[in-house]
This record gives sequence, C-alpha cells and structure tokens, in this order.
Amino acid sequence: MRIVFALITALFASSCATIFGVDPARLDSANKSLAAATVRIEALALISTDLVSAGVITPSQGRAISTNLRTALDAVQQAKDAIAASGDPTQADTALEIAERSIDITLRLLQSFAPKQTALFEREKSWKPLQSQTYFPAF
Amino acid sequence: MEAAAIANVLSGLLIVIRGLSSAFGVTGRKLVELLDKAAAENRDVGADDVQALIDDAATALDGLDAAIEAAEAEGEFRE
Repeated sequence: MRIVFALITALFASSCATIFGVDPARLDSANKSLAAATVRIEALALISTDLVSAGVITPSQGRAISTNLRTALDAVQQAKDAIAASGDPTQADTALEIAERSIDITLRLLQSFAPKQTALFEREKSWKPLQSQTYFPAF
Repeated sequence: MEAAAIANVLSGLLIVIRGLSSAFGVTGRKLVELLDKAAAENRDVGADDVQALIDDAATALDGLDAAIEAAEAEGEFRE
C-alpha cells in the first residue's frame, strides 16, 4: 500500500512539474545566463568609469552609456524577480534579449566614443567563461 | 606637444588599458567562482546568487554616475 501511495505521489509531483513547466535544469540555466549578463554589465560599468575618470569620454557620453547599462540591469532584475516568483525560466528570454541589445549598444557607443582605448574589446570578446551548452545563448 | 603632455596622455592610456583588463578579469573571475561554489555545494545557481551579482553591478553603475558627476563638476570648475 505504501509503495502504491509513493508511486502515486511521485507521479503527481512529476505531473505538476510538467503542467507548471518547472524544470530545475532550465531554471539553473536561466539563472546562469542572467548571472553572465550581469557580470558583463558590471565590467562595462567599471570600464566606463575609468574612461570618464581619465577624461577619455565626456560626461554626456558617459550618461548615454550609463542609461543603456541601467536598462540592461533593470531587465535582468525584473527577470530574476519574475523567475523567483513563478519558477518559470522562460521569463528570462525577453530580459536577456533586452540586456543583450543594451550591452551591444553600449559596446558600440564605447567603440565610437573611444575607438583607440576600446580596440581591446575585440580581444576581450574571446572572454567566454560559460562554455556549457546548457546555458542560454546570452551573448 | 610637450614631452610632459605626451607622457601624461600615455599615462592616461595605460590606466585605461589596465582598467579594461582588470574589469573583465575581476568580473569574469567572480562568475567562475560563483559557478565553482555552486558546483562544490552540489546545488544550482539560485535567485540569491543572481541578486548578489545584480547588487554589485548596481554599485558599479552608481560609481559610473559618481564619476560622471565629478567630471561635470570639474568641467564647470574649469569654465
């Protein structure tokens, strides 16, 4: 009787996971993608701070970069909150698209504002700590 | 351009280049450490982990805004 009950419970739990779309592997993958996008935003913020402090880019150019990076970070924050509340990893998809677009715009702005100093970005693009195929294609 | 001015420009460029390498290095390491820690603890990367990184990025953006304001203030002072 206990075995039957355990089987029914396991079946019920499995069904719930399927119905509600809760997939721990995809949840983990979504969080890793959000984490990867976030550290990239932080790196660009640190680089931009150096460029502004060194007088390489103007304050107004810095503000354009800051606005883009905040858009990206806000998208990541909202996605993280939505995933934490619902357990639905697909919530990350749109946020990652927004973050990726904002990061791309930021890179182009930096390359436009400070082409010599940001020539190293091409080399830095080879920086890919996330090699697992289970991750979302964040970049 | 005077030698001192050239040296000043080169010095600024060096600072920026060092900054580029260190910024990507520091944040890259941070991510690797997070993944290693989660793996060592045999757990998935969770919302708290992501939130900690978001907080760090927000602090970095606040630093950028502070640098912008300082540069603006410096510009006004020069004028």
